[in-house]
Amino acid sequence: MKKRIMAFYAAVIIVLVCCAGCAKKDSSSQPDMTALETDGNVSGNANSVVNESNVNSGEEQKSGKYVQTEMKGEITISTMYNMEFLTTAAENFMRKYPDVKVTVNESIELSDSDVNGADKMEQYRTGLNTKIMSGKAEDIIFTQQLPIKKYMDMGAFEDLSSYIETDPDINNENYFMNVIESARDKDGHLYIVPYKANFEVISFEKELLSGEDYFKGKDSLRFSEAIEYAKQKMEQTNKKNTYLTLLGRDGYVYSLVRENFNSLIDYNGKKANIASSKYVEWLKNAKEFDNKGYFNPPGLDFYNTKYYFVLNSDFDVQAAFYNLSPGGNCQGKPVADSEGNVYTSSSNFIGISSSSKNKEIAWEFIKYVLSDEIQSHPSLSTVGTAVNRKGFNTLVERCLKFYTDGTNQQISFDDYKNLLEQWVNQINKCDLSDPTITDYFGEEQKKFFDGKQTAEQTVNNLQNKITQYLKE
Amino acid sequence: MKCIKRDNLPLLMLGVSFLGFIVFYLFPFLFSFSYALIDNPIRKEFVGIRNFTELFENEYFMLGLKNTIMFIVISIPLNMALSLITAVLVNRKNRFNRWVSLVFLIPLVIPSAATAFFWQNIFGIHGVLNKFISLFGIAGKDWMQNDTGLVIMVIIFIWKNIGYNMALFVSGLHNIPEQYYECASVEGAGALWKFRKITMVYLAPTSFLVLIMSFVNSFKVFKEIYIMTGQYPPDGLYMLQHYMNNMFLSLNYSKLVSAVYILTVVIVLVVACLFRVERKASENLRF
Repeated sequence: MKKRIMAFYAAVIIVLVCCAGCAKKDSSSQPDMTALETDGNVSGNANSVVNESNVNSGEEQKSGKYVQTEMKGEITISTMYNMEFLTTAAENFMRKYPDVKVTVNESIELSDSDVNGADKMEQYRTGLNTKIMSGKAEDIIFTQQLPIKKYMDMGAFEDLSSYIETDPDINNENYFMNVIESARDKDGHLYIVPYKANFEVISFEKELLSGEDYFKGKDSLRFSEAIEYAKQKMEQTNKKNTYLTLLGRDGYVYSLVRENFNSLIDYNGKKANIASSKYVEWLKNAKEFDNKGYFNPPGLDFYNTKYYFVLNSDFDVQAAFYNLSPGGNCQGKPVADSEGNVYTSSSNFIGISSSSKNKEIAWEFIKYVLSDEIQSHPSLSTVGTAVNRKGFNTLVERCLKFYTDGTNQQISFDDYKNLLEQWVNQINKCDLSDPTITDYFGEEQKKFFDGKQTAEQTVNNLQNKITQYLKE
Repeated sequence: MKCIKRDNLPLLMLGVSFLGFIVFYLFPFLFSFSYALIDNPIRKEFVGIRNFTELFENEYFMLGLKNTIMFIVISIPLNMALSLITAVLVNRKNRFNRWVSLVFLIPLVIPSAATAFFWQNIFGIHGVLNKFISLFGIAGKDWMQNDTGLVIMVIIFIWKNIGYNMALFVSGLHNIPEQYYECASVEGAGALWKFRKITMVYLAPTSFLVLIMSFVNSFKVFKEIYIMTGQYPPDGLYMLQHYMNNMFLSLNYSKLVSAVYILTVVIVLVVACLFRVERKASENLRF
């Protein structure tokens, strides 16, 4: 009897192992099945046609010649938020290629409250992690607030270099190639491409800079230098109600951390250099400025009082407009880090899952999102600009109309376009900083500002946490 | 049913739970071994034993291993000794015994989050202890930091587990026939002799059970540490479970599985050794 029971258990284990093997095989053959269903023709030949065409075009692309794949099959898209231009792109793409089905899996409704939004964001990330790790992620992934660098390091994304290099349409004439290639890593891999470019601009109050040429010879501004200059201006002025910046103490420290991120965090050496940095000084300054009321004017009547903030943070299209507007009170430049790099946010990128079985069709869809048609779509951007030059021109026109309608401000299209173009041309990096590390800075800074720990303890905690995180 | 012999019935009944164990524990555990041999589940590049060798070169895996061993070596003997003393005291015939036992068992039913909150309020930087010592002009400190953090965790572990171990020892003490003590008393034996030669000897099987349970429970202290100090505690409180938990969160499943296998092998070896020792120690015991 004992032998029989043992034999039974052995059989159970063998069956389970076999089932697991079968399940794996099923998952690998899943896209073929999908293709068959879409085709409506359940035969081995139809299946092999789809696969062969994919393989052929891939080989030809490697050999340097771009050949569009047979547009037949299904692609899935993962996005954290519902975006109107994406829905339009999916619908139009299916109309253009009737044998392709595009399914957009979105997670969060924009109307959600912050609390629910945070919960759902976490749910979305966890769900996507599971799908990526089990090789069942959607074919296309939009990168909103995801740990992109981690995904790239793990090989979750397909290298898009060969697609871009062999595609005759992707060139500097049609696109801002500096933005398209901003996420290229040091080994030359390009795993994600942007569908729009947005960057931060810091602006000074024009009235306080009158008669000075602070911007001479500067294409971009470093926050540390700008805030120092702003502090001087604030202390020198005799204008009433003049304050340093609307960024507040958290924004002040965060901006300095962002500027020096590459020296604070050494990913390759797996170490944090916070203890040896000026971080303690930044924290203490932030607290001191806050106590002196530099950030937050207590009891100021914003509606009935004339007031000034020497330094402000703004977003690209708006900052460019107010820079040129005669009635505007701001003058600024894009923010650069301590090495002079101008970053675009990594939240506006698209990648193809490395486990996708429809990479060629997925690439065609990405190309469609980058096309004039979708890049000119009104919902593509209210913050940030298109990466396609024709789309960019349409966007500039739309923004200019938006800012000047109902006002008597006259700014020429060319001036506005040239300024924005000049700024976009400066983008040379994608901000791939690890959100986990950024969160640690936020958590520890909060404890410091809440009086729960000293600046020195904050530095020690951060140094330990981040070192552990990197070295694990 | 007739064909099932009476002797085989327990085996069959146990088989049901064993089947669950195979399906939900053993099989996933064995199947996950494939993860330990690849670089990550996405690339699936075969790396042989590289994940295991890298673990032994990893500063934080080794730190977690060292701290876990240190915690076990300090907390288990201390916990067993205190539980035994408490059990012997509670076992004396006294009208308050039942209430005393109850008090010691209360920590067992308190959720980990409440436990952590309670101890945080005592040992935290703004805790009761710091306020108390400040009355004598002594500067307070964060007791959860490196030098004292492990001691605090040992205190929490003992506080939480002493009642359970005490209950096991009390039941073991009840199993020792009273005549042995009476006989020893007639022969003129002292209390210490009776404790060494009767109580300790006949408590050997129970002590073994307590040892195993303490060993298993010592890994559960991670919950309280995690709640009190988060994902990245001071170095002195970094346990193996921190490493494994963080590997899971950072999607490094290959390292996670490798660490789990190393830990499993260590636990199985330790428990096997303990069983062997217990078998030898109990060989000549007769009740």
